[in-house]
Amino acid sequence: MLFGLLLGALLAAGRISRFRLLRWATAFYANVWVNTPLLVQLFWIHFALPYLTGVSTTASESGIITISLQAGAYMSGVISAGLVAVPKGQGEASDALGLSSWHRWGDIILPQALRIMVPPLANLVIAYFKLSAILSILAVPELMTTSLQIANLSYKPVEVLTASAGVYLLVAWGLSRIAQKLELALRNPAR
Amino acid sequence: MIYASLSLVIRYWGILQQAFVTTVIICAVSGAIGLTIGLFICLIKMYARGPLRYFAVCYIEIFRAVPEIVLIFWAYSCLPLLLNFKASDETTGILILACVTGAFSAEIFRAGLESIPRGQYEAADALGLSLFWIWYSAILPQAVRRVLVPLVMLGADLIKGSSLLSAIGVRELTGVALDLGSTTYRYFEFFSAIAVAYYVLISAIQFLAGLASRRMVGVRR
Repeated sequence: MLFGLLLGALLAAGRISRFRLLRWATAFYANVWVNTPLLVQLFWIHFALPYLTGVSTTASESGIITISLQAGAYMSGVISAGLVAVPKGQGEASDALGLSSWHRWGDIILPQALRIMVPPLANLVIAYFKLSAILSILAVPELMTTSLQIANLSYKPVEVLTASAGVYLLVAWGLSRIAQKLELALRNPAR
Repeated sequence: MIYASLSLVIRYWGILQQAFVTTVIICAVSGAIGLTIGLFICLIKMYARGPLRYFAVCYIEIFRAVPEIVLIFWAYSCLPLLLNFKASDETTGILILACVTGAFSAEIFRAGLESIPRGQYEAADALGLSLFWIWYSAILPQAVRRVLVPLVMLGADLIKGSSLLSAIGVRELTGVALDLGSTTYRYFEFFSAIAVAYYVLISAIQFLAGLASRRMVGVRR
């Protein structure tokens, strides 16, 4: 997730950059990751990448790589949208005041853009909490894999799987409550 | 190498094509059922009172919060035990995808309907329109326009979600690619091929929806 955030920021810089080719390439990259299923990407990284590069990864490593790369693509969309959403006049005004570009970004544009970005980023965190369950298909030892194993060993799938679904429900529901609070807290009073 | 890869994909083209059709059918059927569920749940949540409304709220919260893959495994291994009846893998998968789509689309419909200003109802009412015409000529056209974009995103999620059915042995794109990959030891070719297929499918839907929404905006002007 953290790596995804970094990658997302870099890609976002590309997506709003002055150079058309860079904009086009980063948008295409993000589009490919957004428009294909995570499961397919996961298998691709796990099975196909070793064939191309000769470096094979464990299931957990493949999972983390895939999630980071895809999260980066989604986040680049959110971040570049957040940066673009700050009115142009704000940047021009800080230029007119003679602020250095450090202050212009750090003091004027980023604080406003972050306010816009946080709610969708929080939603992405929830989405990836849910998506992490997909890693169970590669048997990455997370909640779903473990509960499937217990279900198989104990011959009690109903109890075990219902319990783990309950855990997912509680955590995702709790996270979405926090995201709602954040959104309310950050709502721009000027609007 | 590229030539060898292409020829491998071409050799199994028939199987891949069939799998592509399966994926499209699964998405279409579960999408249609899901939208129907969504419409009803949305209406119940907006207009019903008492236990029926709680049911709708719980339904939406549960199917939105629990990951699809967990629901799929749950339905696959628990439903036959609970109901004493084994549906086919495809049916189970379509059922779950439809339920999830229903929960998400219910919220989309609600947001679309609630975003229409009250004044629009009142104005249509003041013009003496009957309830049917209020909805048909004033409310729904505006709501449909607002709902279209999120619904297309939901459709893209549905297509991506259908890949998860490979986990319970449904022979759609991902499942078939896994099969072919494990028999030929050539995962690279098949997974690249189906990634392209998913990409084209989702992009095509987005493109069509873009055309449709542009036309609708045009009508308004």
